[in-house]
Amino acid sequence: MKSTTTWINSINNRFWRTIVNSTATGVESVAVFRIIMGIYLLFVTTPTYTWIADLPKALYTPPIISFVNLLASDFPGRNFLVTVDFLMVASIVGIVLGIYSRFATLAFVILKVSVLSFQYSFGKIDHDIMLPATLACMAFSGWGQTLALVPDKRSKWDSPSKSLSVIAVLIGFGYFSAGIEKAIHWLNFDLNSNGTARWFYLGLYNLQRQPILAPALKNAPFWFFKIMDVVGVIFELTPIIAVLISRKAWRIWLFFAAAFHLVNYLLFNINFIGNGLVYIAFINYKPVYRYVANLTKSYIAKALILAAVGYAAVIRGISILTSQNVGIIFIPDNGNANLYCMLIIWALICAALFITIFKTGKQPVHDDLEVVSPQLT
Amino acid sequence: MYSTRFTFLLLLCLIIPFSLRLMKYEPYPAVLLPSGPQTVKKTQGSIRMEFKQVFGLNPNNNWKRIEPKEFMHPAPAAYLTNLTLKNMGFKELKPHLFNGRYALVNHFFRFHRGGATNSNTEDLRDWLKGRLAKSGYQTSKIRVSTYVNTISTANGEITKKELKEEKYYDLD
Repeated sequence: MKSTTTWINSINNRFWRTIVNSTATGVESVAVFRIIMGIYLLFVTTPTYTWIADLPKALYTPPIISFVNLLASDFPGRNFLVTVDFLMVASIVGIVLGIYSRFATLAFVILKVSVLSFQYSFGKIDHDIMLPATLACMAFSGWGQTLALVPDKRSKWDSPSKSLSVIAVLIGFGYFSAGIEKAIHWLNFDLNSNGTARWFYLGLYNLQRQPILAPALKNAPFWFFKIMDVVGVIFELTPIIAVLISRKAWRIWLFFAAAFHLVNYLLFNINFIGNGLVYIAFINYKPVYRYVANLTKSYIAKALILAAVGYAAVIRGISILTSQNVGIIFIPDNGNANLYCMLIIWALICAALFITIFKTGKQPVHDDLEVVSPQLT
Repeated sequence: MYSTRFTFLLLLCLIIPFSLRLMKYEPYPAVLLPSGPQTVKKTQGSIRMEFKQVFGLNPNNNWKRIEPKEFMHPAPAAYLTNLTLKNMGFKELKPHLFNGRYALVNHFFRFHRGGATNSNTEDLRDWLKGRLAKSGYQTSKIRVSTYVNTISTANGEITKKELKEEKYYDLD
């Protein structure tokens, strides 16, 4: 019995050690990532949720297993949602400026998941869980210890390598959950049976999505969709393998993941931009840390940053009170501007991840990491 | 490093929701990404797909397809499909699971069995009427039609549209 337990423990240690080797960065790197994530949350995705208050009770069908199904019997009122919206903006400001970042991050995650639980009570769960899940993990990465207005105190819970390794496992399992059913139904030698074509035509004709490359795909031979079926399934079933192979293999998979989403956006008009932000958590930002740190010491830069964040917060506040979407801050709120802006962001994510493949760096030395911290042991 | 106990708990947190989704009871929140494994079959150079579409009466008394984005705004346009699948919110009373023997099960399914009260139905009608008026349609009726479309695999165009089912909802 004792030897079995020892064997299981040794497998467990090897598993996490391998993943840490493939994913680890450092506190300085995750601090830069915190700013990038904060900028994304404040300026790029600017949803408000007050519209949920207008939904009639007859449409309230929460997921059977969700806390809103247990605790609520209707969509929440406007005052509640306005408060939640404002608190979310405040917590994002906390993340981007580094004001009690750990608390701000956890507050944002709880508020976001709560309000999305109500949104999904409309009857459809949008699978954008990776972003809140990543934020929940990063709250324990120590990303608020530096480059912050009010830095977090060092805590025994903080560990960038552990946080990133859990995010990698969540990505691996998340994609496994998406790919395994597809593998059962899509992987066969029947060239006349296809899953991707169903997604494409459903989006095009039923949901009236208008992907940029729809004309090209409409004229593509049917077997091309079959290739997309196979590639899609392989992509979704391989992240956990890639992270267990090596640091480079993991980075190659991340690049292909971003490219896959970009292609999805062009061909299907399905935009999982939040996942793109999750992938760039694994980039080592240490080389730019010094530059960012110096920048934030300059009074002019500080004033500009505070002005931009303040402006965005005010715009977000007005958006909440008027229930009007503002789209991407500083960009005109129309379809084309939004589309091209998203394409630019995806291109930047792909480029950054591509460069990372060739700048993998040495495998982290375990003494350099905080792997021996008592977190969750 | 993480302990074996932590790994085991993490695995449970991942596998239980996944298993529930396989049983059609997807929980939230859960680390699950979209699956959608259904397929279409190509026969004689075309595929057949079923679409539900929502129509409103324009001021000239003609039925016109409702543009999902405009109708649902600021809710996501894709939610219109779910609305049609939910009978536009006019839920039908479904039988209790296990003949209603277990109070906890009944509690969990209380919003899914349907049977909206009169006041709920009135609110739903008002909400639908508000949406129709905002999009420039008459507010008296809304129609949901189910079509079976034949799509050419050579050029992706709809070559045939067969009406399978039509439902009218009186909103007055």
